[in-house]
Amino acid sequence: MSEKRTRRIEVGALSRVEGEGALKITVQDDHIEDVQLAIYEPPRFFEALLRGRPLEETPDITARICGICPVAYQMTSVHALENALGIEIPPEIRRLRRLLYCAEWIESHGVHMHLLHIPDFFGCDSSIDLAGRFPDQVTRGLRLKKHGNELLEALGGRAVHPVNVAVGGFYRAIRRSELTAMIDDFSWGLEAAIEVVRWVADFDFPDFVQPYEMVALQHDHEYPMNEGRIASTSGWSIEVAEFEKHFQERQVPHSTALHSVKLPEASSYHVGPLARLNLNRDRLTPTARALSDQVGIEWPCFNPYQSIVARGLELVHAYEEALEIMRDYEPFSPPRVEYQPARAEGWSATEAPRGLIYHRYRIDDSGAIEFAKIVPPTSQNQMQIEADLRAILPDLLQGDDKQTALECEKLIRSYDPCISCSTHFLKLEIVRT
Amino acid sequence: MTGHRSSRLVIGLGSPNGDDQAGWHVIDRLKTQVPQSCQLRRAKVPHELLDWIDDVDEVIIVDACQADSQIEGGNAALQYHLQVENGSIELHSDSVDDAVALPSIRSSNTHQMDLGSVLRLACRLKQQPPQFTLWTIPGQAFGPADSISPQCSAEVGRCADQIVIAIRKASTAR
Repeated sequence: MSEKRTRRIEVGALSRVEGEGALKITVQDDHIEDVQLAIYEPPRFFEALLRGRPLEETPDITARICGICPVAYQMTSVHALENALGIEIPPEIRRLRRLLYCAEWIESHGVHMHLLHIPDFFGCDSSIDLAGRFPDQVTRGLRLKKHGNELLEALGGRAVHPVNVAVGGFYRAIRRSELTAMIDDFSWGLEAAIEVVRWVADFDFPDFVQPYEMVALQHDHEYPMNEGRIASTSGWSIEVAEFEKHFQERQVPHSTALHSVKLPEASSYHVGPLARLNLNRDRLTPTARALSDQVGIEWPCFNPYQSIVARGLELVHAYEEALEIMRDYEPFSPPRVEYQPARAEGWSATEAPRGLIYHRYRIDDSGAIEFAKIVPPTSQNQMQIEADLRAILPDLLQGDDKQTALECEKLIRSYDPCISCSTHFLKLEIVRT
Repeated sequence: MTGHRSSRLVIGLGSPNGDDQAGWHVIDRLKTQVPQSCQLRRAKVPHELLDWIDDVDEVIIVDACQADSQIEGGNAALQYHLQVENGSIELHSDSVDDAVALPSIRSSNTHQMDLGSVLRLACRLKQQPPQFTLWTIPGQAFGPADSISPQCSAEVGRCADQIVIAIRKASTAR
C-alpha cells in the first residue's frame, strides 16, 4: 500500500492587499483537497454598532468601515435611508454625489494599481522596488491618487472618512471656485490616466479565463456608481429590493468574513471593475469607451488578471465625468432635502471601487436604526477567489511552495480585496499530503 | 513643476487614541505661532504625506512613540534628522550618540504602510527629496478610551516650542 503524500502551503499574511488575511491550501497526491481564504481580522460588528443610533449618524459611522473607500459605505447607507424615508434627491445633489464617487474611484484605483498591483507584473516585491524601475510612472500614479484625495477633501471636508455627507444631501454645497481650481489638474489627470491604460494593457497576462457569473449594477443611461438594477453576465437582472432573495451571506468556519453566495445553487459570483465593464461598456464616457476598443481585449473579458485594464478604463471614465461635472457646476441651496423620521425600511446598492455593495436598514418612529445589514464587495468575491485558486493551482503546484504562494497572492490581488471592509483577509498555508 | 520650493510643512501623525494624539496636539499648538507660509497638516496614516511634499523643501514630522523608561531621558520628546543612505534611512539626533535606523516593516497594505516605507518611497521617487526632520514624543497609554497623559501633554508643549524656535531661526537666516 503506497503512502499518501500531503503538501500544505500556507501564506501566513497576504501582502499588498488592504487588510489582513491568510491562505491555506491542502494538496493530497497532487489533488487539491481544500482551499481556504481565511479572513482573520476580527469582526468589527458595525451592523450592531449602528443599532439604536440616530439615522443622521449613519453616514459618519459607516464611512469608518474603510479608509480607502469610505464614500461607498457612507453613500450606500445614505441612499438606503433615503429609500426608506421616500426622500427625492434633486439632480444637482445627485450630480455632486457622482462627483464624490469619481473622487473615490480615482483615489482607490490609483492606489491599488500603482502601490499594490502593478509590482506583480514586473516581479517587484513592493511599490518601493517598482519606484526604482519606473519612477515616472509611480510618480504619475501618486499624482492621480492625490487628485482623488484633493477632490474628496473639497467635497467631503476631509480625504479620509469624509464628514460632509448627510441623509438628504450635503451639510455644505461646495463653492464653484473650489471646483474650477481643480480643472487644470484633472485635465492633466485625464491624459495621464489614458497613458496608464495604454501601459497596463501591454502587460503580459496569464492565460486564465473562467466561466464567471459577473454581477454589477446596470443603469439605463449612465455608468453605474450610485444606482441601477442588479444585473448578471448570464442575462438576468433584478431590482435592488430583491437582492436578499437572490443572494445570501453564509458563515464559513475558516473566516471571520461571511461568504455571499448566489441562490438557489449557493454558487460563487464575481463583482468589481471587470463585471461593471462587461455589463456597462457602452455607458463609459466617450474617451474611455473609445480606449476600451483599442486595448486589445475582447469584451466581455473573463480573465481576472485583466481587471487592471478595467480599473484603468474606470480611471479615465472617472476623470472625464468629473471634469464634465466640475465645468457645469452651479452652487445650489439648500444643500440638503429636509425630511421627517418615520418607521420605515429601505435598501440600496451602489458600486464601491471593489464592486457591488448592498445595505438595508430599518428605522423606528424616532429615527433610530433598529436593524442594519451591510454586504461588502470582498465578502461577495471570497468564494469566487477560492474557486479561482482551485482552478489555477494544478498549474502552479510544480513550483516550490514559496513560488506557489506568490502566484496565489497575485491572483488574489487582481480582485483588489479589502479585508478590513469585509471583516467581516492573507496568511498562506498549503497542506500537501 | 517649476522646481521652485520655498515652503515648510509640519505634519502631525496621530489617532484619537490616548498619547497617540501627541502629533495632532502639536499641530493645534502651532496654529497661532508659526508664519502662514508654514503649512500645518494632521495625518492619520503616513501615506497621506505623499500627497503633500511635492513643493516643500522641509518637512517636519511629529509622531508619538512608545516610551522607554529603561533609558535615561526615555520619556522626553526627541528631534531626529533623517539621512537617506542606499535606500535605508538613518535617524541622527544631537541628543543620542549613535544613529539609529528608521524601522521599516514590509507593508502588507496601504492602510498599514509605515512611516519608514513612505519615506523610502518618497526618497526613491524624488531627485531632490525635502529635508526631513522627525520629532518623537514618548507616550505610555494608547488605548481607544485613553486621554492624553499629563506627561505626554507636557512634552507636546516642549516639542511645539522647539519647533517654533527652529522655524523662526530658519526664517531669520533666510
